Amino acid sequence: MISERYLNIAIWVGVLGFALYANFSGETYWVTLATRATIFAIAGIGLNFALGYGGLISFGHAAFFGIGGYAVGILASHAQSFTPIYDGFVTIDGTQSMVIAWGAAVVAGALTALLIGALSLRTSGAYFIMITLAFGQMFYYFAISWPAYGGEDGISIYVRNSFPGLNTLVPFQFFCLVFTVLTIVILLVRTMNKSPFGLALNAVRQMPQRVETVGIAPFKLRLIAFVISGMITALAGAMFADLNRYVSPAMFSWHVSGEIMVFVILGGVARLMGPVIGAATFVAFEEVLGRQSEHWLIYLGLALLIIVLFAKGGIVGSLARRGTARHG
Amino acid sequence: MDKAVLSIRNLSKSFGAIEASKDISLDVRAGEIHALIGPNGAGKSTLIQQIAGGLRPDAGQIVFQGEPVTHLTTVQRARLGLGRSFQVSAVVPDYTVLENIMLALHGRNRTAFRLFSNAFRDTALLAEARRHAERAELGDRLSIPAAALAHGERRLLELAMALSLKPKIFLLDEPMAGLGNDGTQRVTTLLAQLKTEAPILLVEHDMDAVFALADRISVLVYGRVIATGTRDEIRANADVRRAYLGDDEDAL
Ligand SMILES: Nc1ncnc2c1ncn2[C@@H]1O[C@H](COP(=O)(O)OP(=O)(O)OP(=O)(O)O)[C@@H](O)[C@H]1O
Ligand SMILES: [Mg+2]
Repeated sequence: MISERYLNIAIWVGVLGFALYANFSGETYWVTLATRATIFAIAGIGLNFALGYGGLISFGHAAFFGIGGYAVGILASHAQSFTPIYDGFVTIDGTQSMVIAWGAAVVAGALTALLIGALSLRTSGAYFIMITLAFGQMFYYFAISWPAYGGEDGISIYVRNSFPGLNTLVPFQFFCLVFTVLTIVILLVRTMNKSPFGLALNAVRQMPQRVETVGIAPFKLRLIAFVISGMITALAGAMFADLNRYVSPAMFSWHVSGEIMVFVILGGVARLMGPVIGAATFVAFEEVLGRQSEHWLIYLGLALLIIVLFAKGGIVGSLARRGTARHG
Repeated sequence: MDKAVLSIRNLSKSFGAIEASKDISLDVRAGEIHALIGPNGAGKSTLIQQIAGGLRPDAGQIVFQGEPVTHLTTVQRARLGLGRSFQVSAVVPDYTVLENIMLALHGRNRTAFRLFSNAFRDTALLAEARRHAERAELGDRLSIPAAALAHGERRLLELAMALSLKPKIFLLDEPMAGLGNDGTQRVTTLLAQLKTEAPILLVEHDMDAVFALADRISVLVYGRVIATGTRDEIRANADVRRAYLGDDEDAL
């Protein structure tokens, strides 16, 4: 058992080290794998904020992942075809700038989460799981049946979006960008978890009646946590669109919600770096086992079962003892 | 005379066929400890719960500091200054004593929605948290998780969290249950000081403590207040003696 802090640093260095090694040995495919894992990690960190800290078991985070992706895809498609998105008393054009498109994705994610959260947070337990799942599927079917943006075929982004000062077509440069975003997200989540808000959020998961009694509204805590969670996962979806230069309704499918949940449970629920090691392990499984057997998901399922049954804190929980006090 | 900080007027509440509160009226006045006693299942916790906001009464009014609060949520009532402790300890199990108290302080100060400051940075607030812990005899248990506390210590943490809210009234549901003689003594001393800060509605089974502390006592039997009065009046009351006859007459 090591301290969680050192394990967290080791995970961070591990992902960066892998990408550096892959880059300098010329394995650009591995660099892209590391990028994929990093983006999944961000999606997982988003879910972990609601699920791990807030105790909100959302089975609909694909909605945010997809919204983030479609924000980028829609903006890019309008920029490509030189048609404005909206042409009324103001004109809104598409964009191929990552900064603007990712910003739009985060805002779209926040609004979507506000809507879904305001409606579904009135339920709890199994009902909450079902209603978030239903919302996710609603977005999925909507995307499929929306011909303006490709319907089932999705949207292709023919030219990689741009970021000032970088050549985003170079896999390692794009990795560095995504990894920087991951690092910022980790630091922000760490800060929020140590804030008074974090103190109240982690308390409401365990003892909501106590939180009410000290004058803090559980619904408001949960809704804010859900919105932050949706924003982070939408950001991941935006980057995923830029990685693949393609978005499709599959981003909204419940499989994606399930996968994001797997990152969290595999890595360690309510552990800061749990989703990072969880996503990395998932991508490694997918790559190594997926190449040998098309039934790799069965093995992943077995691994998950073992983790859920024997290692409650996931990979992080079985390697590190929990930092006891929340302060200091 | 002293005016009522809290007035309960004609409160009724049923769970199916069980009438847990039947037309209850009582006052808690400034500076007093008003004890609520009665056999198990009489409806004491149900009454506390309706005052604090967790249960909605079927009929009747709750007036706090002159304002009706019956329609307000638990959170709104807490913010107005109703400081409640639970019969079954409801502290945050993973949190240490200090963390639990800091949670209460951030709730009271309305700083709980700050996202980017550190909850434990404010040294004045930390010092205040320590003072509340010390008052509840938990000064040397600050870094122990609530789940690892002894049962009695968890009761004290309940009390410390209520103290931290600096409420305008305390609603204490059996704060001494399971404390042992020594603990009961110390909490009795603490409550006697506390009532000078805010009046207390005290639910308690320990009759020695009740008769040592209470300025007035209400007796609840099967959801109905059968008597309210001073210690002597309650001791002398025939109905009360009858209600307790099977139980423990010597206690009165
Ligand atoms: N949520 C509920 N649903 C149904 N019945 C309830 C509920 N809460 C309490 N009761 C019933 O209401 C009655 C009063 O219960 P209450 O807990 O208020 O008693 P009490 O005076 O606090 O008892 P004790 O001294 O054992 O704590 C009991 O008969 C109890 O079974
Ligand atoms: Mg009770």
